[in-house]
Formats: sequence, structure tokens, C-alpha cells
Amino acid sequence: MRQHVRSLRFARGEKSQADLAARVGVSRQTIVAIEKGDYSPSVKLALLLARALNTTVEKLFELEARDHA
Amino acid sequence: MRKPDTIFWMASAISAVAVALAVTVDDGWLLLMVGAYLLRPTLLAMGLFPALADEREMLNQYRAGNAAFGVLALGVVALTIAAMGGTPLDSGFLIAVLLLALMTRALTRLVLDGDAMIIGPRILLAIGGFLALFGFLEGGEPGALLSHVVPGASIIVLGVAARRWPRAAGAIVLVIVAALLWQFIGTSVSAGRPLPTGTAMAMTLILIPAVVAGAVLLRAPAREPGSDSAPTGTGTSAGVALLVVAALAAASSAVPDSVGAQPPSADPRFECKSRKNAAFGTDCRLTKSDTVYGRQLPGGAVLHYDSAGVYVFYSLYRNETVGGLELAGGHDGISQEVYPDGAAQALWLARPQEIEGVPCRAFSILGELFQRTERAKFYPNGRFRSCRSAQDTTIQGRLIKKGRNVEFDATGNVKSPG
Repeated sequence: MRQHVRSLRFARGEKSQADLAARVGVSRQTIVAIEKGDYSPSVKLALLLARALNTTVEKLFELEARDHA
Repeated sequence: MRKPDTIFWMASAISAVAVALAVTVDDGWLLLMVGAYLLRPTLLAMGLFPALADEREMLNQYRAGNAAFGVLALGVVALTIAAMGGTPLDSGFLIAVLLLALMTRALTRLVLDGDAMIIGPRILLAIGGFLALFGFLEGGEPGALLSHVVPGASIIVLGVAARRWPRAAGAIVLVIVAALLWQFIGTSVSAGRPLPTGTAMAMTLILIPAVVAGAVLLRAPAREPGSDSAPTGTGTSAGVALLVVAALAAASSAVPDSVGAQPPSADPRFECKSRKNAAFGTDCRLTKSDTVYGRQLPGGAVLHYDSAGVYVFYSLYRNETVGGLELAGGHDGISQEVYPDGAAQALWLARPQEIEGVPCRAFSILGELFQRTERAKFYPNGRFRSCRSAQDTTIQGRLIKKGRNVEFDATGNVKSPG
């Protein structure tokens, strides 16, 4: 799964990882893990991230060819 | 790094009580330590303090718990098989398996965090902290106390340094681990016997986390050019070389001198056979009760000679009375060590027994696991040397607290605790 959290974070006013983490109620390490592709967030967290970054989940996360069943 | 939160302070309070217990009454503290460690995952799993863990942390907690459960299950199966094979097991073995599972849980939890700069130093600080704690609890005279605490304190310093120089610290840790393995295995080969169970478990509990810490620190990302880190090349090389020399010197000094008689292969009272690996020496089984080296030994006792033919220890088929003391027997880990002339050197007691007025503790795998040797030791002339007190007692006018090591000098005067 490809994610665009980091790029959108900078595109939306250069929020720091800590700021974004505080907005969505997780630790900074979780934001780090999501941006590194080490962790796939739950639907709820994905929706919260999308709202915090003023975008949609589809624009934040997208499936790659290898993800298709 | 996590900021101290409510659960942290609750766990710290439990740990403080555990340390106080360990210092004063010496019982129950280990279980409290385990409780302190498991407080956070337990409260989170129960849905309490939901604000203190996000979904990724909860997932990692569950994964780590599953890994620990796997180790626990395997350990219990292994102990069950050993018990079915006739190996007598005390509750200490179960606690040792529990500790292995907890170690697995802690390491899995840290590795899942994925940040080398957090994992490595934390593991080193934990190892150093526990070694220093056990060294402190070991007690003794002020000089001895210092020497007991120094190894743990050194690892704590290494853990702090790892935050600034991760690769150098990782290299040093791995060299220390290699040197310790070299020393333990070398000592085992030269003594002609496998490592005692407790020593092997203690090594496992200390060396596996150390290897994980060393490996993740070595893989830590390099510092950005122009950062304020100190150069690591020269310091690392010098430190590593120094450690290798020191470790090899220690290893070579641990090899005992080889003097003494050959195994009694021609003596009809014994059935002798060399171990598969000749380096592990020869075992001679006494077929029936008889006097050996001036001491009455029961039938079935196995006398072990190292590869140089020196008599180093005997083991008993079951708990037996030898020389007026009921000694522990039953499996390979319990070796009653002797001087080459057969005089007792270090004995595992089957139950608490009084030796020259000192109530000495019995064999305990936990005692050995935490380096709190509980063997009754003797001087070459047969005079009682030391053991760990099984209860509060007064010796030569000195109050000896339960759990303290009591040591006499060669003339019979109390040497420590001072």
C-alpha cells in the first residue's frame, strides 16, 4: 500500500509529525511508522488522518498492484 | 521516548516495593518485579487508560504477548518431557521459563517499535540496570559491593553512550558477548562438563538481549555529515581491541591447572567411559556404595574426570547423604565439586542444613540463575568456607540476615558480611 501522508503533511502547512499525532490522538512513533510504510492504520485512524490533512482517504492511501487479491 | 505517565509511576512504585523487599526480607520481590513489568499491557488489554496507548501500540503489545506465550508453551512442553524422563524439577525451572517468556515479550515489543536509537539503548539500560540491581542485592563488604555493581553500571554507561555513538556501542556489545561465550565455553571444555543449567539460563537471559541490542545498534542509521557526534573510528577500534584482550585474558585465567590422578578405569568398582567428545573427559560410575578418596559415596554416583584426568566433581543419582550432609542429586546440572584429592569444594545441599552453626540454603536454580551462588564451599583442608544463610542468625556475635552470603576465613573467623 502506498501512502502520501508525508507529502500531504508538508503540502498542508508543514505540520510536524508530533502536531499531526496530537491532532489524531496517536503517538509520534505511529505517524513515523505509517510514513515509513511499516504500519497500516485502521479505517478509523485513516479517516482521522484524512480529516486532519484536509483530504480524503483515497488520496492519502492507495493500493499497489501487489496488494490486489 | 515515552514520557512518564500514570502507569509508569504505578509500575515504578511496585518496583520500589520489590527492591525494598529484596533488601529486607528477600522473598517475593521477583514476582512483584514481573507484576510491575506486566502492569501496562494488562491494564491496556483490560481497556483501562485507553488514552495511554494508540492502536499501533496495542497491536504490538498483542504481538509481543503472543510471542511470549509461544515461548512459554514450548518451555512448559520441554520441562514436561524432562520430568517424564525422570529429571527432578523444582519450581525455579518454571520461573526460569517464565523469565524467558518475559524476555521474549520485552524484546519483541522493542523490536516492533523499529527504531534502533530507542531499542538498543533501552535494552542495554535494562540489562545494566538488572545486573547492577542483582549485584547490589548480592551485598557483602563495601569493596565487594562495588565490584558487584560495576559490571551493571558499565553496561548502563554503554547504554547511555549508545545514544550518541550507536555503532561503536553495538560493536563493543557484540565483542563482549563473543568474549563471554568464549570464556564460558572454554571453561566448560577445560572443566570437562557442560555448563550448569542455571548458568546456561543466565547466559541466555543476558546474552540474547545483548546480541539483539548490538545488532540493531550496528544497523543504526549513520549520523548526518556535520552533526555534533564524535568520531567513532579510533575510539571504537581501541575499545574493541582493549575488550578483546581483557576478555581473552580472563578466559585464559579461568582454565584450571591440570594436576592429579587418572580415572580409575582399571578399578573393578567403577564403570568408566569417555564422553563422546574426548575434550569433555571421562565419567566413572561407582557400581555400589564404597569409600572413594577417603569418602563414602553411594552406589550410582558418577565421578567425573576432565580431559587431563583430574577428578573435578561427582553427581548423585538422587538426593543422598555424603559426609554428613544431604546433597542434591538427580540430573546433570547438579555437580558436587571436589578438589583433585577428593575433598569437598562446593556442594549443592538437598535441603537447608546447618554447617558449623550456619543455616545454609539448599540448591535452587533461581539462586544460580541470578548469580547468587548458594553452594556450601569448603577450603582444601576441609574447613567450612561459605554458604548463603537460610534464615536470620547470629554468628560470632554478628547478626547475619537471611539470604546473605556468610564467609569464613581459613582460620574460622567470619570474613563477610563485615
